[in-house]
Amino acid sequence: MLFSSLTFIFRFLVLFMTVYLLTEEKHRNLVLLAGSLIFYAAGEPKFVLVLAGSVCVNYVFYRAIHRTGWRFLLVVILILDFGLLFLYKYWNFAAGTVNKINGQQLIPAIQLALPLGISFFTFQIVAFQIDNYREKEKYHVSFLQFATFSTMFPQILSGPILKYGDVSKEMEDRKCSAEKLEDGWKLFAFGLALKVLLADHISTLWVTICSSGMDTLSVPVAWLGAFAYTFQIYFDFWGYSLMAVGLGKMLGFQLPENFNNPYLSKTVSEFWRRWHITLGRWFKEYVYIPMGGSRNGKFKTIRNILIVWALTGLWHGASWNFVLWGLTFFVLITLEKNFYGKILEKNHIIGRIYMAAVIPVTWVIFAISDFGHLISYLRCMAGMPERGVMTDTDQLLRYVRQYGLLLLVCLLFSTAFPMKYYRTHKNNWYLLVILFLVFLVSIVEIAGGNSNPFLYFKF
Amino acid sequence: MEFRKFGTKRKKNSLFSKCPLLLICIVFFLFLEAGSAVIAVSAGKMTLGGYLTHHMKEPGWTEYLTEFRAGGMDGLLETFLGQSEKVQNDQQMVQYNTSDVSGNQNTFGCGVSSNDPHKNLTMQPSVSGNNQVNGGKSSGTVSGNELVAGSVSGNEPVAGSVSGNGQVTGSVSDNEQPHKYGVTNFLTYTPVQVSSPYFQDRGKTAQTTDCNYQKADDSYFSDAAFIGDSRTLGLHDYSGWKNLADFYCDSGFSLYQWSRDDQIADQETGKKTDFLTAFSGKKYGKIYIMVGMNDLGYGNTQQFQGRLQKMISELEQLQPNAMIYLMANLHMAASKSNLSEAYNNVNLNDKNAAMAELADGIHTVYLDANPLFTDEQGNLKAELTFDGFHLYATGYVQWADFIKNHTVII
Repeated sequence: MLFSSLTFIFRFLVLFMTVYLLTEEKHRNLVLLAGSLIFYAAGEPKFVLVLAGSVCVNYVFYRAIHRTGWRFLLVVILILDFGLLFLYKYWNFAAGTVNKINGQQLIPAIQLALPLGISFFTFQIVAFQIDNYREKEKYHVSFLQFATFSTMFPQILSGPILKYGDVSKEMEDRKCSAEKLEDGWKLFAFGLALKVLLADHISTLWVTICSSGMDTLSVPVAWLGAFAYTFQIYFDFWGYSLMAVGLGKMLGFQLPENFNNPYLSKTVSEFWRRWHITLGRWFKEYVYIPMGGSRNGKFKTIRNILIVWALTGLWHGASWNFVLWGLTFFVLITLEKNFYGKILEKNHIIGRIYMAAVIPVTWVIFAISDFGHLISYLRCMAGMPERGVMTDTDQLLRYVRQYGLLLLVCLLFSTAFPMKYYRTHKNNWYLLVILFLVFLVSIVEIAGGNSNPFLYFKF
Repeated sequence: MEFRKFGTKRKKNSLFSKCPLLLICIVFFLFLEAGSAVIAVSAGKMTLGGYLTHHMKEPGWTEYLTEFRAGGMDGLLETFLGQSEKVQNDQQMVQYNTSDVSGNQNTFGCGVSSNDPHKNLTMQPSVSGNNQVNGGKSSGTVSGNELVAGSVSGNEPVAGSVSGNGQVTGSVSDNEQPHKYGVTNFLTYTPVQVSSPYFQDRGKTAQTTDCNYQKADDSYFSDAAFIGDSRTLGLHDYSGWKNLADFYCDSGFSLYQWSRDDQIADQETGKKTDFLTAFSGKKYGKIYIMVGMNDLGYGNTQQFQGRLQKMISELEQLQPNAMIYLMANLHMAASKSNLSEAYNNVNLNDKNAAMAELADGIHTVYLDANPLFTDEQGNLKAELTFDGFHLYATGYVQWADFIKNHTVII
């Protein structure tokens, strides 16, 4: 079930919140668990059993590790958890790669559908196991709390990736209030609008441009497309994350924010402190720091950064373009750290120009999985189209005419201004009116079938 | 619960002041839902229990929203007043079947349309200089001619007097056989079982009208008009004819919308214009129509055919000398073809077949470019498209070539 669907908003959420608020506080975890399983089962009727099974197995291991502190148990459960992820998400990719290298079908492909949210779920549960192993005293968690934490519907499909510490207090004791409900609902409406009104509409520009051929674009058209995708993925994911935080608030949780105006960054290093913050946190705490971080000399630091970014890329998708995407960041971050990072941070204008050139290119690498098409598109951006320019100024003018206003709005919402304004004025009556109207328009759009499934859904 | 004493102020922290937006949304949408339930139940369509089971996944008012998006306030009102699409269009269908066959100005064959009777003395078998015989069946007079040499090419037999003419040589009964350029054939196959309000599978695929086509060069299109949706827009962009022909197309164009507002988008000006005005001015020698993709979810195939027939009739009236090319809608890729909804190739094929049924080979022919781009299952080849619906620019160049190779010289 998508957050941006009528079924979720007008059926599930209404019924769930009614039951949840009527329930006594001490039983609300159970209600949340049940509701979350129903929510997940609606989208994945078969995998919900695997999910439940994984939760149970993980809890058993948690208790064992908690009691004994044996590292061996941690290793086993990590193998099991990552193994499940590998099986569902990476088996065919790995098999295909091996087969290609060997020139024959050594390893067969598996016909398994990718369960929704498995990448997020796996990382969250692994984080819990490692946290528990490191600091057992802090983690006295009942099965109900653990199961609820792992499966709660605001975050199970697309994050934020939680550490138990983010919600430990609220798992024990949380209160709902009319103000929190209102706050959460407003945030939800804000996020919904970002996704439905901005992301879904600008995505049609990207699709239109790619549809005309990725090897026949003029330079301005190719870059326009790249910017369209840049906006699309941001508002899609940021919108979703805001909806998650908003829903969490309605339930009484303060979930961590995943985005902090990433397009204001002046360097790629800064970008990744502002984009998908909980993922960056995960890789830092469970990969980078354990491997030594930056403490063991330059060579090891570079090696660690390389591993982190290769894995970050791979986490985003089982395809070589995602690995290339991650490695691109490795190169840029290493260069920034060792050469020009300080220059960019000091000089805001150069930094922003640098980012405006670099980020859309990275998103194109992310967006196009077919390598032939990716090379074609990048060549168009560089002014060397494979088949000569066919989509040219006429089309460019048409796109600017059709999407110009939307692009300006996207640009505005890429700044800090809208969120800041919202935060200071969210209790004013005119913002109320605006949000209500915006919500209405969003619903009209959804009903008109204009919603694209959330981009990060294939995770 | 105690009521406030009259004259005292309301407490500042009432529920409404704490969560106003939430309450407004709840009340508003509850009202909408209750309203649509009341409408449905009172119209006798279903019981309350029926409403709840029917709308388990989505609220009842989404149907009204869809109507509003499609047809504006008019559409919404029609839904409320029970003037369903089906009823309206059934009425229109009845009209078409008894409508006049007008526009005897189309004289095909080697004739020359001229009002100078003497020139026609030596011209066989054409008839020229007819005034428009409009309205009613041409069982009225074929009047106003000086000389009627050869046949009066019209679509109906000319009964009644052929008066006001100087000389009528040749037979008037030749009216029954106007020149036919080609025959539209259909391939049959075993149909799939579908239960959809939008389409059926009639087990037939239309083929390009069997004609003696000529290959033309680009100048052929200097008096051409193209009507269509985003695929026609692609042709506009990549055929090379954008400065030669007139393109009346727009993304999302549908016959359904056209039948409501009678507007088309003129690519020259970039604005919408009145259909009748657009085709009442310049005289076109050929008009290419490709519509249907955006009609897949609006009404059924008969309604679609009715609307297309209306467009063709209007064009035949306004542009009697134009040959109308009905172009088959390009199929979609297999990944997009979803039999459980309206968007699939079976529905599209149904619409194409309905379109081809209107290609009489006299004023209209049917061109199907799909074999160039589809696989054996009839799906658009995945490597030719990005989004499953549109060809790459190079594909449109191929399509333009196909059109150039299939021209009917009148």
